[in-house]
Amino acid sequence: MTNKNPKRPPTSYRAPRSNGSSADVAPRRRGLLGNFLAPRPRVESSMPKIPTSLWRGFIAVVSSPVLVLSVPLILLVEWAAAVALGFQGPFSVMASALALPPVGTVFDGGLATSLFGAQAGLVMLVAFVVLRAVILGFLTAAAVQKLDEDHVSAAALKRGVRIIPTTLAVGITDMFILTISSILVQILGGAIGLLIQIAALIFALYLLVFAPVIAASEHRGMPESLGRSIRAGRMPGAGNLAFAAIYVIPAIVVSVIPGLPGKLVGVNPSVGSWAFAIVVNLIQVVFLTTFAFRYLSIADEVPEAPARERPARRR
Amino acid sequence: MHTTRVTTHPRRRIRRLRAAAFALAAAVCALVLMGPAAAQVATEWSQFQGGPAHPGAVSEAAAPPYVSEWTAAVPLAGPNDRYGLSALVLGADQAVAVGPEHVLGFDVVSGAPTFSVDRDFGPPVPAAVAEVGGRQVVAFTQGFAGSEPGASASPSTPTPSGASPAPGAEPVDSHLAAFDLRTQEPLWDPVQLDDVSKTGVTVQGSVAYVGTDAGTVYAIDLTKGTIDWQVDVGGELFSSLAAAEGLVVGGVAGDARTPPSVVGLKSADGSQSWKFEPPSAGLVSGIAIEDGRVFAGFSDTTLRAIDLGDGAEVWSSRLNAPIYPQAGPSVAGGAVYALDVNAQLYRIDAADGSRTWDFALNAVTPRGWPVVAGSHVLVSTDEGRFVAIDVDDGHLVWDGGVGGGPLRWLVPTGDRILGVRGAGAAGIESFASDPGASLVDVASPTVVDAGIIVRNFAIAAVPIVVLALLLGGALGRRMGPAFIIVDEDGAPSRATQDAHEDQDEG
Repeated sequence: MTNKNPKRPPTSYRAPRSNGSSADVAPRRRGLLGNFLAPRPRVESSMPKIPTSLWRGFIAVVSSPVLVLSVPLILLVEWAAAVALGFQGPFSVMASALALPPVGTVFDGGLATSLFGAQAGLVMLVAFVVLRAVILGFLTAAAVQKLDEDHVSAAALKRGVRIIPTTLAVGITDMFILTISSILVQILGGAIGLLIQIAALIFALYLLVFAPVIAASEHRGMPESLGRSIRAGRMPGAGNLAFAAIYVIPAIVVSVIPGLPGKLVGVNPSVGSWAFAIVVNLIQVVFLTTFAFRYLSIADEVPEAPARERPARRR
Repeated sequence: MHTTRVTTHPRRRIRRLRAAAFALAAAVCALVLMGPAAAQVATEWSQFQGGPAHPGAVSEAAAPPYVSEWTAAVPLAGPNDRYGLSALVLGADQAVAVGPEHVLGFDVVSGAPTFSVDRDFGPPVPAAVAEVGGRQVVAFTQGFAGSEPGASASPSTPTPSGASPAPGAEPVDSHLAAFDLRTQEPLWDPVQLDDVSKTGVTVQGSVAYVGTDAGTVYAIDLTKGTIDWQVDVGGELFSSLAAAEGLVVGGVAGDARTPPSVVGLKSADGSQSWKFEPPSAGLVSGIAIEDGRVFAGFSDTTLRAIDLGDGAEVWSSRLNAPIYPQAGPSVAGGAVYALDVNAQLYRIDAADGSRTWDFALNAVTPRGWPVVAGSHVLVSTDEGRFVAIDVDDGHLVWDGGVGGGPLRWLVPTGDRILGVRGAGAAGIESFASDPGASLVDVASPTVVDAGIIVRNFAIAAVPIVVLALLLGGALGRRMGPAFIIVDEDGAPSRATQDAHEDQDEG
């Protein structure tokens, strides 16, 4: 392998390589559920190892002033907005402020019901999911541009706006999955219910986490990005399920572990509470960037959705 | 025992004798003059939270700062020493507490024990002191109905004739009993209940109201020891029943799927006047009634006002955490004071449910009943913290600090505040005003201070950002971009050294 073309193309979109995979012979195009139910692609992915991915994600974030600065600033604005709406803490919930959906969706649900009660909170949750979609759109676009072009420019903002339908669809789908899982938890209860809820979080992340990255890097529409994310997530040998678990379980632990800074009710967080929240949210963005890196590394190997069969015209 | 004899000069002795005689005469005069007032104080808190409506408020009380005046140690008892004392009620200058196996009396001035009456082992829940037939009586519940850990279901108190549970049902060890406060003589044979009672006793007139885990509300005539009526309200009754304006009001527990309810029963015959059910499942807190409104907390982290006349919701006010069934609100001066499980105290306008102020103490308080004592709200926590908060501005004016074991169920009486301690220092503690100490003026951590927010944010954010960027600059230069673009078979493609090293290893 040689580095013949060090210049970056004007667009980050790459035509997928033909590698004789099942993509070439797939019989029929499927919908979102069909992508999930379809047999796993028989392509062995060249996904980077998890430590390598995390290392690259970390370097990409800390070497980008835009990404580093945006974390505390978004946190400050979100906290000010939450307090203005009547939230009184604990501030420690802000550790999940920039969490990837569906972990972030859980945070949104908790904040919405805490502020507006169980019933009105469900309505307001949609507004919170929209806000998260906007922030996730911007951060994903910035992360993709940083990985692709080694800098973040104003173009990331434009690209971020463009991918909001996809980030919103991810948020709403996650909301749906979490609602179903919480109903199951109520029915089953106890430890099984808890396991189901954790499994639902991992599962939703595993299937949908690449969708915003796909929309940002390949200019694809929302349905196509969702379908491709499912196919990319399910590629054999990629370790995506393990990586989703590696993200979700510590993210839950951080949100429930007692004794961490900011666990008390109050609206004037201490220095320690701010430092904790900023560091944890920087890690959240590192994970977002890591997922982007992982997808971009195997983007060319993800099989295309087979063409949809057109019904024969009647004469 | 070591005894010291002290000799004094004869003149001095005469002077001292005169002074002592004068002091004695003054004390007698004071007692005669203050007699009615003292009796009034003693009957003010004759029931849990001050009366049958549980307002939890007195207009005059000892003012903060406080100092510990006396303690009366009562070790925990029962299996594994789990059980302490119930909330205190007052009668005839005595504080009456229910322990797991005794009903105990204490002198409110000195803390000295005044009596101990045996009871069947049962939940330590508040008794009530009532005037019945010209004498003060103590009514209390006893027995675990066979549900205590490691106990047999056989009753230790014989079931009296004429007071039985449901026909055909086995009698269980759960009763209402009463004795004369002066002589400690029982009034009548204990009245049989159908299940363990954890509500304590509420008395209005000469009728005692108790609820049981089986969901039965009893009205028992204290003059005769007979059941006037009993009604099944369809769910467990955990917290004290409240009575006012011809109604008995009880909170019926729900569960994870069933909503709780608040039920209004006519005190004349027990017939249901109304039933309020919130939309969410869970539990209901203790109840306070004032000015035709019932106030109760619910698991959906709300405090609600319910019309005493028809059971309709008047308003609902959101809290940050729920009020537990063993806790409840207090009412005074057109305001409701509620303490949630995290010890956040709220002052809520009784008219419209708007929040006037709140103060977050950030402590665990599952049995928090705030007490309004004059111009202060007194709050105690399970960490042993005792604080006073100004009713007008919600600022903390005195903080006794933590320690000494859980402190619960404060009772203002004359010039002292009594409280029940748990754990290591189990017993009763009395607090008196401490004129030598000074008050403080502390705003709640829930009051926004933009200066502090921005300052703390900057102190935390700037070093993290600078450190991250310095690290990122160095690593970025060393490691290079994430991807390099390679041209493989004429098609440009991303590649990274790391990824390809990984693949090679694989």
